[in-house]
Amino acid sequence: MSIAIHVENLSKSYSIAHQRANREESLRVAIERSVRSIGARMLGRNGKQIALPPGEANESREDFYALNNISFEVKSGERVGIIGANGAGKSTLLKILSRITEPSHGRITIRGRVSSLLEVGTGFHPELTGRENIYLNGAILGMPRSEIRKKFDEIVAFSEVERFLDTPVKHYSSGMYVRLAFSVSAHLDPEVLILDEVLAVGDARFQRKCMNKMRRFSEEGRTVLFVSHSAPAISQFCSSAIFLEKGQIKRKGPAQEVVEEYMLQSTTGIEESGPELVGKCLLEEPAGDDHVQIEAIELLSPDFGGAGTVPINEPVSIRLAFRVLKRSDHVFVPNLHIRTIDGMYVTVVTPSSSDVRPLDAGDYTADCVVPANLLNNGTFTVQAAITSFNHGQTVHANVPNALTFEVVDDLSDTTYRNGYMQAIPGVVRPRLEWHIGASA
Amino acid sequence: MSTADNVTYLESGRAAKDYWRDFWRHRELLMFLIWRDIIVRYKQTVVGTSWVLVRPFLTMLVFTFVFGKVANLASGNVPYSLVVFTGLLPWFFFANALSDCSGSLIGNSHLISKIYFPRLIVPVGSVSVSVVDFLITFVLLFLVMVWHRFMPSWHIVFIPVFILLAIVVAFGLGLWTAALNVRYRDFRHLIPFVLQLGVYVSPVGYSSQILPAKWRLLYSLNPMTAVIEGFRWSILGGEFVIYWPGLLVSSVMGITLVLTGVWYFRKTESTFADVI
Repeated sequence: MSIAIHVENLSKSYSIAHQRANREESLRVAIERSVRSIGARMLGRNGKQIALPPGEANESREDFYALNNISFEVKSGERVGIIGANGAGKSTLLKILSRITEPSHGRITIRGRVSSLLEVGTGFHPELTGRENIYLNGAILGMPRSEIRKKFDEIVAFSEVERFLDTPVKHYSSGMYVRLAFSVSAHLDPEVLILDEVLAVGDARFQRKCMNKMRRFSEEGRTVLFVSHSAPAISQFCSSAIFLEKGQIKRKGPAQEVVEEYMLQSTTGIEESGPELVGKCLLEEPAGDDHVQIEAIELLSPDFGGAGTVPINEPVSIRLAFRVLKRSDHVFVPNLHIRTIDGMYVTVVTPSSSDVRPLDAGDYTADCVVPANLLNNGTFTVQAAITSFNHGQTVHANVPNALTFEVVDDLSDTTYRNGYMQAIPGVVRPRLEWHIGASA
Repeated sequence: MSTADNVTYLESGRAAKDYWRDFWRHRELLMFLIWRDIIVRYKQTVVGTSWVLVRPFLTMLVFTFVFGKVANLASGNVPYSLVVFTGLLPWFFFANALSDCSGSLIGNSHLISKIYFPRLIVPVGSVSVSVVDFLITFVLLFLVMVWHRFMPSWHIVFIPVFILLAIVVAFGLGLWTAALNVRYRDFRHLIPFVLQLGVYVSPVGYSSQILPAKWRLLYSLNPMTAVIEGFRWSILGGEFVIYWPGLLVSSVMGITLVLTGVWYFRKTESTFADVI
């Protein structure tokens, strides 16, 4: 298999002091300095230093390496992901590969026609209509006019904005705008495609459509270089990956392995300044209507120190304390909404129908036991609510973000690890039943 | 950077051996950028493209009144409005071209930081748009001449030479200021100021004949002087004669500006995306 992209000892340095000076540098300062340096050279021959005003004299140029001696190869037809935290040098690498800026050292060889998409809709003009922007954007991305004309109908169909083709794009919704912009890009015909996180646009359905388009694209034997800090996107889409850290390659190899290492690093980083854990939530003002009010939500984990920390291999109870104000025929159903710290729903849990009934006025508690080894290690939030469904659906009380707790795996129980001691991805980590035996 | 057999090499300071071939390959982009600038400019305006004509026309009326009637400057047997208009036409082109061109790279920074193309396309496109406007204003000149029943002399065949000179001067200065503007934003303030003064320093509202002869050469160091004089000579003829040393100075200056401008532009081009 031939090599599509060959990067040898690539470095890119910015001189920080210089850069900062440039931004604010006025012409006067620049002229003054150059006159002074000419003067210094004429007067202070033989290396004698001329005193410069303080501040300027010690304005040393500190070189900052955005990329430091990077080498890698991409075979043609490969889908390679580049992953790394902010400031790792991903964007710089992309900019160099797409010829927007020059490398400081090193050399890159790219075989084949290159298209790079650092942004969706580069050069879109808000005053122009959708039709006009397709042509303009196509030209900016390097498509000949004849080719745009040939693919025009296809582009329009893909974007799903047929009806608004002759409306200026400034009147488009942001979704329409992005769809149209992506559609033009998706109909490029390069041999090497360089992509920034442009896939992270549009609604979920359109994103899937784009992903599929890109996958087909590489199945046609074209090379894709995809930069993202989204680990799932890289592990789904790419065959191999490169993990950049502080301008250097930390690891390269099969996408799954590289992404795992990246995840491990990024989660260890979070621990230092993680979210505040809340193991007990006593409401000063009870939340609820004139039927029922929530008074407190708390985590019952007696054997474990640290508020809001739960060992993965211990069951944990969540207690909801509430007060019924008057007897009615509403059947109060306490419910807990468990989410990951990123806001993704894990589940909503309620008691069984046989456990709920109309209650007399008074104070009550509802305990919910989350079994051991259900949630994976990570941080979760709990929203508590009381709802009744027998007179239409009524939410009587609701406490969002009542608890924040962390499930930790201290590796004291390694029965299901088989010697693998690193992070295990996922939201849940149940211990499922397995049957292993010789096949008949 | 170079491309051969579809292989691209990227290296620090690699001489762009086929820069001009690359430029030629991007000619469609150039056309699209010109087309974009032309149609976008007068969107959501009522009189649209007529703005190209309205501005010089109103300026002509004011200048004719101020210089011709109030100051009562002489214009021989030619209507004063024609003297003003033959000066305004190239001046308006020069002022528009220079101010658009100097801001062109900054105005297109979203393209420059996101996509590769020979950056020279941007100032070339910007000056081209001004040239289109320039040619449109000739329609107005024609109407003013018809109004005064004025028959131009045979010198009019030389008008393309002076149009070209105006373009060369404006493009040369525009290239320098566009590239410098990326790093030193001072030019954003300097250019409007220079153009504001320039309209009085150049012989726009009056004929340079009224100046003492000993100041003539110094006066011609302004490259637009020869352009405006050339316009008057080609269109009005008669007592408007060409001052040859001035024309020479202007031509040499214009060509030098373009050559050094291209040199400076290409030298700094690779850092535009980092600095802009």
